[in-house]
Amino acid sequence: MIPRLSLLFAAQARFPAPEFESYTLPKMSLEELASDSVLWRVLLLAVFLAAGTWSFYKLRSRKALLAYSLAGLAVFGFIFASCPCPVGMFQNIAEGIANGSYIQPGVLLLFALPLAVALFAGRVFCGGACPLGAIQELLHWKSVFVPRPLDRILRLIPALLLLIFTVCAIFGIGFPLCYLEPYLPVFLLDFATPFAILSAVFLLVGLFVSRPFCRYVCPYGVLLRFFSYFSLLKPRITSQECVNCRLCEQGCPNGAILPPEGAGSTSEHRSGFRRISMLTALIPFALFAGGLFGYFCAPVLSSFHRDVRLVRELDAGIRSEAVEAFESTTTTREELRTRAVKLQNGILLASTAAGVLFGAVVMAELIAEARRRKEEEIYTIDPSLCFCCGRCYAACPLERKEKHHEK
Amino acid sequence: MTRRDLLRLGFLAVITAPFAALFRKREETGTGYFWQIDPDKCVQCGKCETECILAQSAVKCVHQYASCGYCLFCSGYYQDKRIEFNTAGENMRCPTDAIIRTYVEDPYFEYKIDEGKCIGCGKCVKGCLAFGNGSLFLQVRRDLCRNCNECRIAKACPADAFVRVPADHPYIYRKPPEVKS
Amino acid sequence: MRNDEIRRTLRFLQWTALTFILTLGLLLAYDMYRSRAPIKQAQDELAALKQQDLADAKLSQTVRDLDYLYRSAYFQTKDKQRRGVLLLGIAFFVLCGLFGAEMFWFAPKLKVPRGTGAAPEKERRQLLVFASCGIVVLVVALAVLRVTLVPAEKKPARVAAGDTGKQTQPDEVKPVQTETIDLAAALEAERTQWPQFRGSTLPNVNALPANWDFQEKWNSPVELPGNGSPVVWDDLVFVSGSDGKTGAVSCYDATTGALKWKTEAPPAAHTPEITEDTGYAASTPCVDAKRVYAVFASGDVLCLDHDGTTLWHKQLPDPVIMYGYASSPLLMGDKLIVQYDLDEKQTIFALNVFTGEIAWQTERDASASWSSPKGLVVDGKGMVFTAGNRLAELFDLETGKQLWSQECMGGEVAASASARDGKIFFSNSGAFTGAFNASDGTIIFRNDDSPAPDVASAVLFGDLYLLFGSGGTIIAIDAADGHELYEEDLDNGFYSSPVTVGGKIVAVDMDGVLYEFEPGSEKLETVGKYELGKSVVCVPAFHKGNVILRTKDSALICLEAKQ
Repeated sequence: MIPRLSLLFAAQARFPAPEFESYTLPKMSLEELASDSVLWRVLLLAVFLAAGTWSFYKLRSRKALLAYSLAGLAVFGFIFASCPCPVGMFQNIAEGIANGSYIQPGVLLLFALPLAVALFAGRVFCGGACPLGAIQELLHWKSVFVPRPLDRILRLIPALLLLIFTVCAIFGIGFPLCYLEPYLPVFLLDFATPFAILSAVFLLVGLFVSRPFCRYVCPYGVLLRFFSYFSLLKPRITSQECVNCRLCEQGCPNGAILPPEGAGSTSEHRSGFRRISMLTALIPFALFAGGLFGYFCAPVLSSFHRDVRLVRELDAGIRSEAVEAFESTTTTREELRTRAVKLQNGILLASTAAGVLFGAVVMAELIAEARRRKEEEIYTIDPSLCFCCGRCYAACPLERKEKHHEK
Repeated sequence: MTRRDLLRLGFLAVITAPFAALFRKREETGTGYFWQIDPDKCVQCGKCETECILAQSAVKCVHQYASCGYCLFCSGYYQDKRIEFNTAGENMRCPTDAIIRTYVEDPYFEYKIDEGKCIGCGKCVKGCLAFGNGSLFLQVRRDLCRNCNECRIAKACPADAFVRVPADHPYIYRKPPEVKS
Repeated sequence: MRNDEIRRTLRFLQWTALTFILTLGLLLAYDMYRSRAPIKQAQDELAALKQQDLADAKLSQTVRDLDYLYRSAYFQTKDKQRRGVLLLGIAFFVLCGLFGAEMFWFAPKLKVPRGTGAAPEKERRQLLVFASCGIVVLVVALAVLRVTLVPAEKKPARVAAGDTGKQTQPDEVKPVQTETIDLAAALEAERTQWPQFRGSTLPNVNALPANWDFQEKWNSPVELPGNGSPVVWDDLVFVSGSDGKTGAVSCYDATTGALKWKTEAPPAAHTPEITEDTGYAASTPCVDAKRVYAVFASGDVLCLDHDGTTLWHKQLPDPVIMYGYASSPLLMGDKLIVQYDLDEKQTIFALNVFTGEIAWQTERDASASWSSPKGLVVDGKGMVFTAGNRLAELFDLETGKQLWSQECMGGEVAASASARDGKIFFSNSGAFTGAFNASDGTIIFRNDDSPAPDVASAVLFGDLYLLFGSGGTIIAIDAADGHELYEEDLDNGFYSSPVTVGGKIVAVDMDGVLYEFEPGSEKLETVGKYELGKSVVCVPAFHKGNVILRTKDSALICLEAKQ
């Protein structure tokens, strides 16, 4: 193994290396890296996704899905310490595309595999292959039902976070999702840092609100939601057998099971139509407002970047450690300043674009919710919101009857 | 083929698009995935000890014996205020007594790092750089580091000394000095 | 029923596990939070104590005990925390398992569904209300973040390319060159003053004190410390000093020692990294009939007139150099030569003394060095000799053209050269000891055997070239062929460079003993010896038969011979 050499700081050593008579230099105890574990992760992920799809659509068993969650938690959570995980990979890919650098195939596969499976089988990944989802799944106690309107609005936060984190990743501000991952201290079983408090908060909230991270924070969930909307296999409630007992609606703590609407009165239709036309008319304003919002967010975002912070400190005359470290390098202040200004302009543009996109997402959500549901008489499952946990299977009496008959 | 199927194919294509990046020429230095410290940029601020998400930091001091001068008075081992060549607490630079000093030949002494005790504070590195050859430097240990996607120490490092290295070059060494003729 | 009992037991176990985790978690968190500060405090305390002089046995014992305490506390705390976390982890798994067990074996307990079913219209209206609230929240959050994170000027001010972040004085009148300086006349005028590092370019003709029995004439403290030597012109003494943030030139009356003025340099663009031995103002200022010039470790070159008014100020590029910048400038006629041999880039600057603009700058491929340039006149033309790691070079004073270059140096070059009769003499440990021919650079002789000084510059005296070492050894070598004649061992070493004045060599050692030497051909005669009692590293200055010294503790002392 050829060690990678870096330049010496001064021309020559002060004390020349001695010539020994009887002593041999000991070896530096630097072990080589055994294997690149990212590809192993991908392999296991594929196996788990297959197992999850099988358990959810064929076995239709809550117990199997629980085992799936537990296994996922053990393997991806504790053994692999959840880093790198598919949830954060979108940042790596955004950065790789922006920098023009090489993206490892393992990273690409980690990102794409759950999405490809979502396209065909829904959010099986969230069911148990994702350690974050698994831990929330297993540590959920008494469900506090979040009212549907609030739930829909809170579900816009992941979209906002996705856009912000992508901008951060592209411009080298960092990977905020990985920095702030709430469950990492639990997986590492190391609560040295103050981020453990974040862990505790999320776990406690998760005891009562089902899957708080998955529903209201996870940016990857936005992509999964999008892809699983078009999935081939979906959890379906068949109209012939459903008796509207409403037990599944309660059984699903994630709000994925939507009640039927009924026929609806004329005035309801009219007000609904008015609502949709108003919302459609608001679209250009929403896009503009979103762009404006993004524009004003840009300085805030850029202040998180190391170079911009450095220039600000230099201008203000603050002698922080970073400033002193910078002054011992060969980069001139002009170079730093040019870089910072270029970054700022880039972030401004990207932030505005992201703002426009966010405006579009908000309007899409509002309009989608304003539409009448297709099924008027029976319950439906929204495949983009279903986390494939299988609680509905355990709750539905007809499902249990079916199983009983099979036995 | 329904519209849904068409859309599905379209999105599948979209997911596979990033794979085109695989066909881009791999750069020579190679952006790897594993975190490492560039010893030339490091300013020994001490954050490596405190910022790691693990309770005991994955950063440890490493000794490049080829560059070491094997001096009687090692400025990385002893601190400059008191020059008495014993192991008394007030003479040592290392706060946890992680350097072992053994006599080799006259007048050379070997300095070895006890990894179990090293906390990655960088004090010995600072001393070695100031008056010695700079053969001590901090490195991220592959067997301890959990390879977080976003290294907390990297984010906090004031000198921006953290780089990502590929799996086959997990350590960055200092070039051994040329001996003066 | 059996199932209910199991369920109740499970519930009970879950509650216990949860309480256990919460309590243990809180205790652990509290402990971690509490233990961070004292450990850091102990570390800082220890570091501070270690900085003191540990000759006192009691102090060293305290440090020893504290060090042991800190170490054991550190590892014990870490072990305790690790064990606590492990326990927490196990309890956590148990809780997971219990929840899993309940979910696995029991059907979910479902109550009667709430309400009458869907109320989609109401929900849709509520959605729009929530959406508006959400927008308000976002806007408020953005406003708050903008106020806290973004400073007053929204972006780094777009400035012109040449801005280095320093403050310029907008109302500073740009000086204009209105006169010319004749080099020969200027050099001749210097000989009766003490205007530069080690006296003057040509042999100095100041008078020695009448005898070596001194008394203190005056003693003035210098506010800002520095290792630059004092310089004298007429009745004014100039010193420079800096504490890293502010640099200043102070002027004292040479007869009374009263502080006449002190002018600060503009705030430094940045504080460079230096070692304590070097300080921030190690360069000795230069003074001529009208102006005084000072260079600071931050790369600032300041020019003032004799009344303390700032004439011009030049900021040279960031001086990143090991130990700190220490080379003294050389004043030759209308040019101020600054040897700027940094770690990464080595340049010789010649600044116009009237305007401060760069008359010429020559880059060379050497290494970091701390030596000061030596001026000499060859065939009526001014020349500048510079010694640096690897290269000894001679430059033309007017154009900056390199006339010759000898690759013979090495190591850390800090001493400066002497010149006489078309020959350049130089001695530095680890580099080169010998002489060059000024016209073409050929090496006349070199002596690699005699131990050479590493800080103090060697001095010419008659047929001898004397090397003053920092260990206290003085070696005399023959100025014609370089062979060692004799050596003398004194008690203390010399950091201050010796100078030839009034037919004798005057030197002051690190302990503050002022010597008057008369080197013979066979031994060194110590003619005078005076113990000042304070550490001195600067070269003494001479004024009307008095000796002016700058002590290490930043005081200016004028000694006069007792009548």
